[in-house]
Order: sequence, then structure tokens, then C-alpha cells
Amino acid sequence: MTGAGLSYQQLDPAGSYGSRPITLVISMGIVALAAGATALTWPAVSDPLTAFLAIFATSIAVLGVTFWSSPLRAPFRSSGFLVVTISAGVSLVLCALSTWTTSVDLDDQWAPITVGLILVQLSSYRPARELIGATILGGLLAGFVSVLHPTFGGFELPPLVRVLDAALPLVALGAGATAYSAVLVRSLGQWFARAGVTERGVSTAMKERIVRSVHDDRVSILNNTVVPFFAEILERNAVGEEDRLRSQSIANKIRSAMVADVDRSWLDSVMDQLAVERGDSTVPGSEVVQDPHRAASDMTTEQRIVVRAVILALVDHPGFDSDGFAIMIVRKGSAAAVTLTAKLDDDESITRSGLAPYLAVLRIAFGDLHVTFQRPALTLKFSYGS
Amino acid sequence: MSQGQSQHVGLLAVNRAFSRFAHVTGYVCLAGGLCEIADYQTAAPTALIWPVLLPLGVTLALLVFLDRWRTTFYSILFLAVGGVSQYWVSFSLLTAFPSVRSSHTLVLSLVAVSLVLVCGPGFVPTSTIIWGVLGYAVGLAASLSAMLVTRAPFSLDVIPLVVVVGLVLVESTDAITRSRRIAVRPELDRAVLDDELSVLRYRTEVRAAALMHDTVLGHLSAIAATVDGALPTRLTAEMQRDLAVLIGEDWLEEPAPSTDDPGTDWRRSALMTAVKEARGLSLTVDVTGDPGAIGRLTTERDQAVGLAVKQCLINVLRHAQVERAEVVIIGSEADVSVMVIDAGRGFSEELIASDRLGLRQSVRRRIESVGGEVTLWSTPGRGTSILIRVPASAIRGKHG
Repeated sequence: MTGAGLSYQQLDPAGSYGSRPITLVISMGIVALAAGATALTWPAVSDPLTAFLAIFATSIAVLGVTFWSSPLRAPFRSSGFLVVTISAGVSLVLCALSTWTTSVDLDDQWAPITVGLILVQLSSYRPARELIGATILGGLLAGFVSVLHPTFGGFELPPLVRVLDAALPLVALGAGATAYSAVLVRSLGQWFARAGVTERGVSTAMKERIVRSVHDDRVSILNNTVVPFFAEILERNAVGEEDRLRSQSIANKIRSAMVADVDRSWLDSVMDQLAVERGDSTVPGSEVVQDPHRAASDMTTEQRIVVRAVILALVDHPGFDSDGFAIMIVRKGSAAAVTLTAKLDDDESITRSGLAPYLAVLRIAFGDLHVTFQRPALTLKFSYGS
Repeated sequence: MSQGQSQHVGLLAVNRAFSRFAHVTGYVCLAGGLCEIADYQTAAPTALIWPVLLPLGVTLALLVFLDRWRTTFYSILFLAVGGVSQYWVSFSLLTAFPSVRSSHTLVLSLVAVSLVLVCGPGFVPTSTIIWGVLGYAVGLAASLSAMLVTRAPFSLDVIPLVVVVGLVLVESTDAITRSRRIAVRPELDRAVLDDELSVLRYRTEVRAAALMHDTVLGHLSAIAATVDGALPTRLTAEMQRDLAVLIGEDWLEEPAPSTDDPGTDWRRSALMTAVKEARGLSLTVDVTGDPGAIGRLTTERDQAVGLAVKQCLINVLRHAQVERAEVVIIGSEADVSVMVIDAGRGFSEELIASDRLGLRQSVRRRIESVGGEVTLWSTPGRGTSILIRVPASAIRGKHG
């Protein structure tokens, strides 16, 4: 997918989650602007019902943005975008209709500004390509309505000025929103590309430490069992019944250790590593992972990273109780379903807690995340694979 | 990239994007202003409005500079020239059309709006707010001056006021919630790094386990199956060689990547070495197909395929109860496939004991760890075929 086809939310779900308070503030501003402007210019309203409907359509669009930008509903899908932009378009027409025979001032026409602000809200969640499309269509609609709109009041505007006055707020804000989305996606894309190069450099140094660590572990096993045995046999250059039995016994031990290693998934390792790092009983080890079909290894790199970050966030969350923590992965054909349960002694709503951004990221990585929080039981359900 | 850097870069990206948002909105306003002024001049040919295009054009050009170089100098210059433009636009229109008000047409507000969206040189919300309020003040002063000079009745331009209030609200919210945005990033960065390290460790452990299986476990099995007396010479030699390798320093190090220059002579490839070793163990191995395709594998993949094929051939020797196997090599643009076929007694993979690691570890995991895949067809009594497929490097010029 090209940069223009990507959204900020897709590229940096945690960052776009950070934009949500701004989205909410703009939502309140839009509704206040629509209601306030209608109230202040009430003498210019020729059709009160249409005026209310215009505010209602604006509220629907704003509610849509608020609803679909929630971390529990990420990513903001194109269907949501369509609903929001169509509602906004309807509000634009209704606003003009409500003052069709009585409009005297530019201030009566608040909808081009609110529609532009809605596009600004969407810039954190939808790609630049869609934003510019909506801006062009919105601008044409506003211009078209202004051409049809009968003029009243004390000042006759030149025809092009009338069209520009109607379309400019929407087009200016929409173009700004498009630029915002495009610049963010481009900057973050370049940053990720550079970070990838740097990480590969870092990995080379770390790799040596890992290779050394694995090497030392293996050599230590060999030195304790195999090396003395082989050395003895090689020196003696003869094999007897006792040697055969000893050989079989050493092979069985090594094989069982290797089987245990081989059967450990990355998820087991994450839990065990966390338990070792914390060094106390607040974090359980891999015993909480139930993955009989080793389905954890089928997650993509991005999905592994997100699950790892969510586990870290959960165990670091105030009120986390290790007793209730469990991760169960069940394979269903080529797909797998994950159920993660945790006990959190938390008074805060889960959507306002420190976990909310992680849930937003989880929603992006696994499209079907279901969150249930009935204090203290938190359950996260999601699936992956096809 | 460190975690601190990633937070910083993320916030910088948002700041840069907001600045671009503000400036693009300003471009459209100023460009719209130019068009409207031209239309006003057309509508009133006798009035002297067109000279306003000059300061408006200069303001637009300065915004381009400011967008590219967000310095204090350009910010102040933009506000100064923009203030003059706002005055000139208001003065000209109020002179030409004394009854015009900002509530009638946007043209009286467009420059003032672009001044509010100056953004300034800072990278923190407070700086953007200060510059925005300053821009609003300049625009307001210019409009008021024009009203005073033209003796037009005072009217407050609502649109720049709405824009500056909106700017203050948005930037204040950004400043307040910034800490929450920062809090998440390090954990994700840490998870990325941990995952990368975990993959590295896994690959190293797979390599270690496969080598341990190929060497130590193989020798232990051979000793367990030996009759009383002296060790076979070949086994003695292999034990001495493998012990030296395993206790040495570099047996786990990955071969130097040679993606850019695969194409080593296939006759000296790890696969052909494995075939020769199997032949040395009295197995007849027929190599067919396109052996030259092996030359398109990287060193790492060549070694993985060689060791995996060796394990397959050892399995034929140990379990298939035949003395002949065939290795078929097929190269395509995307990958190299090696199939090891025997007409032996066959087996069912599900029935292999969970502690038997040859096929699982030395073949399947080893190949998967270099990005390849293994497919197995075997029917008890009707032989076995194991297909190993690994990605090939691009074909360049000639290959071995």
C-alpha cells in the first residue's frame, strides 16, 4: 500500500490514540459551533425543523467520529468514514436549506466550517487519499449549493466570491487535514525505515551476545556429560555393554532437554523471562500459557510485538493480580483464537485507564478484539490466521 | 534507535504535521483571497482594488518560505507582511464598497486566518499558541486600523476569533495529554526490541539443536548400536572432529551473509558434500534435475539445505531399509526445491515419537529458520518423498 493509502492510525496506533482527546475536543467544538451559530442567527432561519435537522446531522457525523475513534473500535474503517462524510454532506445541504429564503450573512452558513472540522478530526484515522476526495466532493457540493442559494441582505457578492466563500472554509480545512495525514504517514514511514536500518546494526552486537550465551549453555551440557564419555571411549577405543547403556542414557537426557526447548513457544519465553526479570511472585511464568497446538508461533511479527507489549502493560498495571492471569490459544482450522484473562483491581473505566492505548494497538493488530471488564475480571478475546 | 529517540521523533512528526496542516490551510485561504480580490476588481472595474494582489502574493510566498524554514525571522516577517496585507485588503474593499462587512464575505478574514495559523518556530504547543495569539492580534489591529482610516463602523470579525479559540483549545489539549502519548511508546519499542532478540535467540537455538542432533545424538546412537570391541574407524574420526567443533568457539555463528553474491560453485555446496558423505556410508544417491540452481542460494541457506538433506539421507539409511535414494534439484525464479526420494518402507509422520527430533529439528525447523518450508509425503510400504523449498537469490548473469 502506498503512503497516500495508509493512515496515521495504521502506521502508529498508539500515537493516533494520543490524538483522541483532541478529536473529542473538536467534537464538542463542532456541536457548540453548530448550535451556537444557529441560535445567534435565529432570525435568519426560515425553516426551524430543517435547522434542527442540520444540527442533528452534524451531531450524527460527530458521534460517528467519536464512536469509531474509540480504542475499543479501532481501526477506523472506511464504512465509518462513509457514514460520517455522508452525514456531514447532508448537514451542509440542510444548513443552507434552513436559511433558504431569509439568509442575510455569511455567519448563517456554519456548515462548511463544521464539515471542514470533521475532516480535520478524520485526519488521524483515515488516509490522505480519502480525505482529499472528501474535500473535493465537499467543496463542489458547497459551491453548488451556493450557486442555487437565493441571495438576500444588504450586499450583493460577485458570483465567484459567493462560490469561494461557501467552499473555502471546507476546502481550506480539508486540504490542511489531508496534508496533516500525508506528512505524518511520510515522516513516520521514513522514521521506521531508518529505525529498521539502525536496529539491524544494533542486532549485530546483541547477536554476538546471544550466540555466546547459547554456545556456553550447550558447551556446559556437553562438558558435563558427553565430552568425558566420548573422551573416555576414544582413549579406550573399545565399547562394551556398560558404554552402550550409558550412551543410551545420555542420549535420552539430551533428547528430552532438546524436546522441552523445541516445544517452548515465544509466548512461554516471554512469560518466563518476565518472571525471571521481576524475581518475585507478582508475575507468573509460562505455566499460565495454554497452547497445546503451538499456535502462538503462527502470529505475525507485528502481532507478537503487540501481544508482548500488552502482557507487559498488564503486569505493570496497578492492581494486577497474578492469580487470575491466563492465556489460552485454541486452534480452529488454520485460524487460532486467543483468550487472555487477568484480574485487575482497578476503579477506572478500562477505556480511560493506562491500558486503553494498548487495546487500541491490539485492535489494529487483531481486527476482532472483544474486551470485557467486570471488575476485577478483564477478558480479551481475539483471533488470527485465516 | 533508542526508546527516548523514538518518543521524540514521534512527537516531532506530529508537530511537523500540525505545522503543515496550518500552513496548507493558510495557503488555501490566501489563494482564495487572491481569487476573490480579482473577482471584486472585475465586478467593480473603476475601483482600485487590484494593487492588493501584490501584498497578498508576497504574503503567500512568505508562507511558502515559513513552511520550509520555521524560523523566528520568517515568522516575524510573515506576520509583518501579512499585517500589511490584511490592512490593505480591508482598506481597499471598505473604500470601494463602504457597506461591506466581514459578515458578508470571507475575503476580509482570509489573511487574518492565515496569520493565526503562523505556528512559529517552536516545537511545543505553548509556542504555537503564543504565535497564534500574536497572529490574531496583528490581524485584528490591521482590520481595526483600516476601519478607523475608512471611517467604517466597527464590526468584530468572528472567523479569525473562532480559529484562534480553536487553536488554543486544540494545542492546550495536546499539551495536557502529551504525557499519555509518550507513556505508551517506550513499551512498544521495548516489545519490538525484545521480539527481535527473541527471534535471534530462537534461530540460534534451532541451529544449536540441529547441530547437536546431527552430531552428538548421532554418535551416541551409533555407540549404542555398536557391538563389543573397537569403535569403527569412521565413527572415531567423526567423534573427534565433531567434539573439536562443538567445544570450539564458532560453531554457532551464522555464515557471513552473501546475498549479493550467491553463485558459489554447486559442486562444492553443502548439499553436494552431504550427498558425498551419504555415498561414503554405502548409500547410492542419484542426483538429477538442475544442480546448478543450488548456486543461487545464500551461504546460510546452502548450509541449511545441505545439513537437512544429510539428515534425510541418514534417515533413509537408518529407517527406509533401502540402499538407494534420489535427490532432485529444481530451480525457479523465486526458489530452489530439493526433493529427497526413496522407495523404502515409508512411515506416518504422526506416529513418530515426540522425542524423535531428526525430521522435526534437523530438517523442518532448520529449513524454516532460513525462510524455507518442508513438505513430506510418505505412505507405509510405499516410500518417502521430502520436498525442501527455500527462497533463491535473484538470477544475475551466470551461475554455477
